Order: sequence, then C-alpha cells, then structure tokens
Amino acid sequence: MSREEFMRQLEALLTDISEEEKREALSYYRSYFEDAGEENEERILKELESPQKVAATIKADLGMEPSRDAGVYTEYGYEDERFSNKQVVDLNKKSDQEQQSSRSSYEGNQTAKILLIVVLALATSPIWGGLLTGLLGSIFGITVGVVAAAGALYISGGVLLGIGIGQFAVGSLAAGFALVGAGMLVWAIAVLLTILSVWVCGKAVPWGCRLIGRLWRSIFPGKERAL
Amino acid sequence: MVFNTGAALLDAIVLAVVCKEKEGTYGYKITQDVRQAIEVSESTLYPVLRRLQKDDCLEVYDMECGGRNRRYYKITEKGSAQLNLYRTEWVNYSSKITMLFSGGELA
Repeated sequence: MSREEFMRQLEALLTDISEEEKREALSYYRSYFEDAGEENEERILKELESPQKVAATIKADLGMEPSRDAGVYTEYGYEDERFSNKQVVDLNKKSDQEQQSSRSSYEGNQTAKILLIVVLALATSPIWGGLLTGLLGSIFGITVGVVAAAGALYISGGVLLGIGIGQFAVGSLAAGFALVGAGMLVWAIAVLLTILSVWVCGKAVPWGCRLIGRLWRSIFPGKERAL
Repeated sequence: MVFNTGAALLDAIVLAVVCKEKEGTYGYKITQDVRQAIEVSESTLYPVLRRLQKDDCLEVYDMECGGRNRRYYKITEKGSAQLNLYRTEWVNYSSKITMLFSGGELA
C-alpha cells in the first residue's frame, strides 16, 4: 500500500467523526509522512499496520469505538483504561496529589487466588477436617490408652505381688511364688508400655505436628516465616 | 519492553520531550524522541498529543517549513505544572521501586 492509498483509506474511515477531528488527524499523518521523508515511508506504513487500526486509535480517544478494541495502542497492545484514571493537575489547587490512580490488577489476582484456596478448603473441610481430627484423635487415644494401660498394669502387678507376699506369710509357698511371679510379669509388661508411651509422646506426636505443618505450607507457599 | 507504559507515564514522557524544545517541536520528531526512551508504535502518539492539546497542556501553531505548513507543539503553563507533578510523582515512585529491588528497607 502506498502512502497516498493509506491516506485515502484513512480519510474514508474517518467520515463519522467531526470535521475538525478528521482534519486534525489527517494533517497530522500527512505531515508525519512528509517529515519522515520518502526513505522512511515503507517502514512507517508497516508500523502503522493498517488505516483501520490508525482510525480505531483516533476514534478510541474520541470515545467512539466500542470497548472491544477501544483504547490506544501501546507496546502491550490496545489499552482501554488510559483515559479514565488520569490525574490532571489543577493550577489553582496544586496539592491534591492524594488522588493517585493505582493499578492493582496483579494484587487483585493474588487476593483472588488466596480467596479461591480458602473457599475450596472450606468446601472440602468435611473431608480433610474429618481426616485431620481422626488422625489427631487416634494419636491422642492411643497415647491415653497406652498410659492408662501401663498405669493399670502397675497397680494390678502391685496387687498380685502384695497378695503373693501375703500368701508367703500365711505359709502357702506355691501360691505365693505363683502370685509374685505373675505380679513381676505384669510389671514387666507395664514397663514396656511405659517405654511405648514415652516413644509416642516423644516421636509420634511431633511427627504428626510436622506433617500438619508441611501440609499447611504446601497450601500457602511463600507465607512461611523464617524461624 | 517488559513493563507496560500507562497513560499518565506516556503523557509525562511526551510533555518532557516537548518541554525540551523551547520553540516547539513536531509530531514526527516527538515520536522519534519518545522512542529514545520507550517503544511506541507510530500511531500511539497522535491521540496523546491531541488529548494534551485539548487539555490545554500543549498549544499548537503552524509554521512554514520547506514550502509547506508544519504543525508545532509547544508546552503551556498548565502543561509545565502537570509535568512538574509527574516529575515529583515519578521520583517518589521510582525511588521506592529501586529501593525495593535493591533489597533495602523502605523508610
């Protein structure tokens, strides 16, 4: 496409804007080509892409183009919000710098992401909540059960020993030995259970806590604090 | 470029470029000067210049040059004030970002 053809098409595309805007735009692009010189003509035509695109850019600024491709072309493509959130200085009131326009779409995305995770977590809470409480309950139950069993065995072992010694005093040696032996056996099992409960408290509970911590961090990465 | 140039920054860059020329400057040259700093397409600047003109930040006049009329853009008093606001905002904004990127603490 030649420069003349470009200008002719652009003029035809700008028939629906005011005569003044049309004249301004056409004279701008005419002198743009003239100032650039013939050696740059081809490059500029290529960069302008098409009269349609240039016309759309001009009309977008006049608020005429539908929002689909309204806006001005930047290196990121058409931009829509250009003219809405611009801060204009007022000569009579220079100090109102507070009304700054902020573009927080990235921040918004992050917030939306976290919100989504929270909603998902709440929706699936009957599943993982149940699992988690089940796990914690089991650990707690086993610990309490083991401790209680050990305690009970200590007591019953002591009772058996007492009765056995009583049997010695009465003179029944066989029953005495049998009861004392049984009591010792029960105590031995109680000691084993004590060792088990110490292991559960020292190893299994911290392990469970670490597991929950790891799960939490994998759901909310980057929120980890350095310890 | 990785970072998008917003409307206000584009306005500020154009005002700064026009401000440098006391006698005013013209569309093609403005585009080339802006391109020293950021990548813009050839069609980006016309709406910006037209809008700044309507906002009374720029004034235009025609001057004959090589047998034809060339449109010159010149910064107005309002345009200078607007540019000063942009400069202050930019120093504020860019120093915070630079500080953040270099790993320092914000004051």
